[in-house]
Amino acid sequence: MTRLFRIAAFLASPATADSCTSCHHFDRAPDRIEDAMPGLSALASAQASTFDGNGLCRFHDRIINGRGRCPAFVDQPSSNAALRLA
Amino acid sequence: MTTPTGSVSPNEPSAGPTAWFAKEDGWAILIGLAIVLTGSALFWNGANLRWLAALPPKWASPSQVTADLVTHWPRYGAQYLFWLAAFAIALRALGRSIGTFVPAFSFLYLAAYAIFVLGQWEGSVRYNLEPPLVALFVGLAVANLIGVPRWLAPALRGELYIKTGIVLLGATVPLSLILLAGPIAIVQASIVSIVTFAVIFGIAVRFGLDRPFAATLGVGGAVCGVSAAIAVAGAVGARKEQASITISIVVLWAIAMIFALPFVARGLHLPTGVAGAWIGTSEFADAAGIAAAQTYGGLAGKVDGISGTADQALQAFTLVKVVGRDVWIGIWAVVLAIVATTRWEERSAGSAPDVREIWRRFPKFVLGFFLASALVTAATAHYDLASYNREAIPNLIAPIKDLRSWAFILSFLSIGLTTRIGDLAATRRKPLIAFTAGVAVNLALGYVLSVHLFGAHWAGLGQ
Repeated sequence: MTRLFRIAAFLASPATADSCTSCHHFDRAPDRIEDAMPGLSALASAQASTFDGNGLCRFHDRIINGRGRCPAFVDQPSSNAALRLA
Repeated sequence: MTTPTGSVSPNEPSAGPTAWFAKEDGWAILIGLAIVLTGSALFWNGANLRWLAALPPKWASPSQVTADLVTHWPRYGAQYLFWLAAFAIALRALGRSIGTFVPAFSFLYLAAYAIFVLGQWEGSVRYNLEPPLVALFVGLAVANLIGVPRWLAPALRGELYIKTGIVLLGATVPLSLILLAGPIAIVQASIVSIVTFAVIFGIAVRFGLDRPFAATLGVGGAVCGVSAAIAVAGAVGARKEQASITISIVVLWAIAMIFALPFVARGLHLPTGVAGAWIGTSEFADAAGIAAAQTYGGLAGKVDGISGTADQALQAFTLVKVVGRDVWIGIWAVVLAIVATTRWEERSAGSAPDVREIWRRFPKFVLGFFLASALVTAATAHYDLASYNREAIPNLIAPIKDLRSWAFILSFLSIGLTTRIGDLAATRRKPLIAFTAGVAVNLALGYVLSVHLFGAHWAGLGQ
């Protein structure tokens, strides 16, 4: 039971400051994502609920949800500066 | 996943009420429910939305159209301003420019008016000039033969328009019908979704495609087209090229099905409810399916051998596609993310499972559909059938339905104008074959379930 609880807690844990969402290579701008994938805006949208927080990893050229992290992580100064001030 | 400070990423998707209005779904709900609430309030006070819900009349001579325009231009003007204001506010909140939207939307509205006029011509059925097909065809022809000027792009937000239309569609579907027919829709859609996914995924893996690509293709065919494909691509970390190829295949098949499904259903003389359920099972995108279902529903009473009503086609489609397939997208994404993380070697380190995606990826506009249905059901609860038909339909339901038709036509035009075949990523042979095999199985299974197993249910939907 404890193990199940820990798995559930892990699955529900928020992305943290050292995950891809804070990486310089991570691009979540809807316009750029729609431009990068022709046809996306014809029958869907990068601003739909179903898209959630997906973004484009410009380093690996992958669509990711940003919750992971890889060795290519490059700190994005602006977002982390705001974080430190907070 | 922790940090030295344990801080949450500043790019973490926001939660709470503001998150609703950071997505198109929240605005579609707001616009749709505002119309339904206003319509209900007016109805209760002896008035209605008819004045705003202007629609070109049926005509045999162009002079009838001119006469209508001369008489009713203030109504069309007010309606144009209403849509312009509603969508401009939404798009501004979503970070887009109003300055570029206004001229683009003005042109789109005029084009939608012209499509409506054509569809109201008495000979339109004889020449298959149903407004949804005409809007798509004209849009596709302009986009691919002439080219769409860049200044028009800001108004081509087909998803926002179609979601607003689906919320308004909820107002025309009694809540009791959703509760009665919803479970069968879910059973039918689930059977077809799981089988279709298994076929596409299995064939794609057998062809040597990596599993994230196979999963992205699979949900694109099985759940809700481009939206599902891009959701799962992010959850499993598919490569951008793989997502682009999937989008291309889905768009091409979805466009083909808009024209093919009503054509085949017409040849088989399927009742409108049955055809709507089949389209809901076998189309890949909400907008594409609504175009097909609305086209087929429009044939009821005009073409010999097609029984049922126009509403049945749209209602059956919406129950199967939106309630039966779309709402499970978050579960597909989370389950596949867990499988990718624990069992697949080919995956991106940038994605990880997040159980909250079940809710975050939930297509929220579906809630607007349910709410609109509940509101109108409550507003008309004390009417018996005769007074409902005499009072509620012309004064409450019909104006909402006409405004819904405008939202749909704006969407179909946007889809056509946004689909440039030459810009789509080149499809590869193996993913195309895997997806097409899934389409074949989906069509056959969907037909058997809609026509034979649940045929009586769908043919008598709402009767």
